Amino acid sequence: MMLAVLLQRLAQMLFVMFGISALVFLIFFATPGSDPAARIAGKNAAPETLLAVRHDFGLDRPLPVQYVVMMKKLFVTQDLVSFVNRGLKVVPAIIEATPVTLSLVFGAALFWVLGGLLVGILAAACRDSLADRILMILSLTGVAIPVFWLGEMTNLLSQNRLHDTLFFSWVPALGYVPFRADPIGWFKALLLPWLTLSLGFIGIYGRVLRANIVETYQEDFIRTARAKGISETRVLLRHALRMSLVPFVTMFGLDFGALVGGGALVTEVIFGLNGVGKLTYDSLQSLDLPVIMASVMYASFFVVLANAVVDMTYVVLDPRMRSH
Amino acid sequence: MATEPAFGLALPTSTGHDEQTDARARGPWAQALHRFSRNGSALIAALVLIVVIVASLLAPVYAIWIAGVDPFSSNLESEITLGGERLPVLAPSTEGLGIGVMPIGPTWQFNAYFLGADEQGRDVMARLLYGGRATLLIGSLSTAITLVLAAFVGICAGFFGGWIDRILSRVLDILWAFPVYLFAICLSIVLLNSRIELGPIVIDSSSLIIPIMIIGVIYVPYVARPIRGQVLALRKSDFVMAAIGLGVPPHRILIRDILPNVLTTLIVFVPLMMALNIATETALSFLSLGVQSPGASWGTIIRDGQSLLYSRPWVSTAPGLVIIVTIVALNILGDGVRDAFDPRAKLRP
Amino acid sequence: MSAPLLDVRGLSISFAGRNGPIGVIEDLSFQVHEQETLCIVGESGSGKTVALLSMLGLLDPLSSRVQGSASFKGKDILSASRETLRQLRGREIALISQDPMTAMTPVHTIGWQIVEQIRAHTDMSSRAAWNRAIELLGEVGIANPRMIVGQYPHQLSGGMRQRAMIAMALSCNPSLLIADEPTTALDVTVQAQVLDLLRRLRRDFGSSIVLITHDMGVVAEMADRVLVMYAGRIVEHGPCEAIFADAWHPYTWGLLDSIPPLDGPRPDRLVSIPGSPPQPDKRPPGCVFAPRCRARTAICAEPPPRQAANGRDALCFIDYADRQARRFGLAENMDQPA
Repeated sequence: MMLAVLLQRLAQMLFVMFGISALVFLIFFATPGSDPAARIAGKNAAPETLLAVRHDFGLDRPLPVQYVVMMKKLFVTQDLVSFVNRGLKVVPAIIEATPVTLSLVFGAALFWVLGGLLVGILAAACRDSLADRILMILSLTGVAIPVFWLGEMTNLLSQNRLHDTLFFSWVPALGYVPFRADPIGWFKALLLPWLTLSLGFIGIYGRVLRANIVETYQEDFIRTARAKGISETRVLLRHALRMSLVPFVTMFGLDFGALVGGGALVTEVIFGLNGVGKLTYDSLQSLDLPVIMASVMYASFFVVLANAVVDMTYVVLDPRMRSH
Repeated sequence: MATEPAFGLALPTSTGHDEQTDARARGPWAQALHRFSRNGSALIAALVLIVVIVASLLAPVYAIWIAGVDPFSSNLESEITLGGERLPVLAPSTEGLGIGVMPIGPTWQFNAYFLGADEQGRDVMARLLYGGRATLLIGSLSTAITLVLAAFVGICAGFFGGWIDRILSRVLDILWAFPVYLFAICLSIVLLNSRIELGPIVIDSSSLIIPIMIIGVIYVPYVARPIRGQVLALRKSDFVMAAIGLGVPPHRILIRDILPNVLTTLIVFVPLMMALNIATETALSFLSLGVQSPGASWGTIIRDGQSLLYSRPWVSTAPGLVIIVTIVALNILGDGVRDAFDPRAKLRP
Repeated sequence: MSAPLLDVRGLSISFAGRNGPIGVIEDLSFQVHEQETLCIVGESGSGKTVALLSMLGLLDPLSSRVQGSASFKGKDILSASRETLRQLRGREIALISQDPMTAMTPVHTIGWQIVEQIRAHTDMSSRAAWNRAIELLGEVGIANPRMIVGQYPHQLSGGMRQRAMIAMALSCNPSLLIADEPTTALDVTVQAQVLDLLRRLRRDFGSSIVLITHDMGVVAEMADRVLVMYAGRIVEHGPCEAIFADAWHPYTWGLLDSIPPLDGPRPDRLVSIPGSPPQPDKRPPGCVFAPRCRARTAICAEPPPRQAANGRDALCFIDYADRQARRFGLAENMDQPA
């Protein structure tokens, strides 16, 4: 029963991956306005480069063939090269940048889930009190702050204006430190990026969780739980919170995707972390389409995969999902 | 946040009973307006938004009559008089190697470089106001596009069902799973570097239409899916089933029963989508994928201020603050509108 | 007679409304004795559930106000600390909710939920508590308790869930069981089984039961004594047989007349009470039932007296002499189509 649900989810994942890859392919190769070969080769490419690209990518053949060639280059042979950055092998470059992005993204997700839980539970526990109001106003503001702006402000204070004070004297210069080389340095380099990236999400998740918990408090089973004579904390954590986790997790899957594509990209740029996002950003500035295409494809697949994993936890979290 | 009687106890009373009956007699729209007008924080939010909009609309008045500057062209040579002293807008840099320029900082005087200048000597205050026009225009038009497309797709899928629904739902599934910013990046990088010619219409890469279209499209599944669900539920509801049974033609059911319900959902989405779209626009502009130079939007000004961050922080700080105020106001307004139309509605912000 | 298990005197409950407090329960007094089944009858909104929840301290202290006194085994429970009340709940006083579909947390197994209650009140090990849960499920007539104990509420039928709820309520041998319309949400056949079960449990466990219902049929089957509530007040109270034999209050007449007779000629239509109970903020100053009362007279605009005799009482002006004539005379009139 449960296996069937999981297999179905897996099939859906593969279908969505196919759909996204086809969509990306169509945007890059079939949008009218300019020659796809010229897009791939970059600005002011020599005529022989264009010719080579046209042959290499099979651009004179029908679209489905072009799609297959492209997917082969991306995922099978992994020999897609950049023309702007002559000779740069795109896929190895992305793989090399991946640990940075994963460190950033998973660290931020951890902060965001813990922070969201904390804010939501605290606000729900003392609902309608002054502390609740203040938490909610703070999280409303947190949601509204653009990540890239928050990153700049963080840098302004931690790298420049307050760098010499007690608060920020520990902050290292911008850039990434590999975990294997120096775990403490890695942590220090990423702490502010993590907080920057997760702040808005802490706000949203705190608000949503509070609303869910307060709504769950209306349910009959909460009355039953209270009537059983268990402690108020237990009613909150084991019954109200536990029930509210289901929508929380669903949202998490979606926003994790938004984080990888949006917030993580700008955070890497602002904090000078050489991850996939920074690679993509640099390629955007130099119009290096093969890199952009490859990183979009890989990042989307990662997000779809992460979503599927989250959905499967959903099945574990809510026994009612297992039977249909 | 509405206050609920806690402890899982449904009050056996309906407080304010006659109010409700009165409101019911007035119809859902008047009822919503009545509820909205009693929501203090939503009214304040609306007021703040009106101030932001009016200020943005008055941008030319400020640029021409008060500050006397052109926010879209470089001012490499000009000087201003401040407190009897003549200052260059762009002074040679004294920091580092002495190459480059140091734009004038905030003068905090309304008639000249209130927030200082950017690296090209352009008045940041004037650009901020013009930037508001671009950002708000993109935000509202893309919201309109999102809602119209989403309503169309959602109603088609939900009302006609069958293979139309299956195809549309699959497409929505794919778009839903595609991270919005990655989608936007793909579309922008291709469209901004193409010359799009649709017959006599030529869309230039600096046109605002490109970011408007892109942002309008990427969020369609976020609205279309709930609307499809709502239409599906209405389609299966007793009163629609009864109407079908009585032989009422489908277009009449669509117009009389489905559309009014979808319309209120759409209205609830307006402020929330505005907030989301403004945030998206600023992020795309920050990545140089939105409004193109020399045009200004709140995102591009933050981008322009990036290299001046430590020396002239106000260039980046000011637009960020305005973005926050606007988005907070829109979100509060959104909550107010949602509560006004359906106090029990649950929509993902 | 020994001291009552639960002794409620002058209980009044009001909720915060937009224009000041709204009284929901007014001046409620009743007793529950050891090993007794007390039925509280009334339409929805009459305040039956609220009154009992206040006994358990389950009303929101911010939005509600409770006055009067209630003592359980001689201890005051209205002014008791939260911790005292917590210890009382589930161990001494247990609650069975109306709708078993929604009354259990969907994400925990039946066994987990029973164990949680046992472990909240005893220091039994989880293994022992789990075994006790299986035992309890067997006692409430579940055929395969070892399987059911590991299942989630949504996997059980309504009747099974209500049995599981009852098993959970009994897990700490409470002296008082509050059953809030325990059969309303169930199929008729299952209703009878659950009522049977409650009756058997009272005999085996020796708990007292307060049964909240609006079904006079249930009352007839279960009750030792009956409280009839209307609009937050007790309008009539007495032993079950006495009330079925000779009801005093016109509202009780209405409730009894709405049961179809099992023998004799079938009436063309059942007699119903016209109108609906007043909103708590719109209750008339005199007799609260007067606007719907068939036997209303001018005097009913005044607050009615509580007449008491032979261990029963009623809140009404109509006295012994008038009762029969008023009741049946009016019933005959009602039979004529208007």
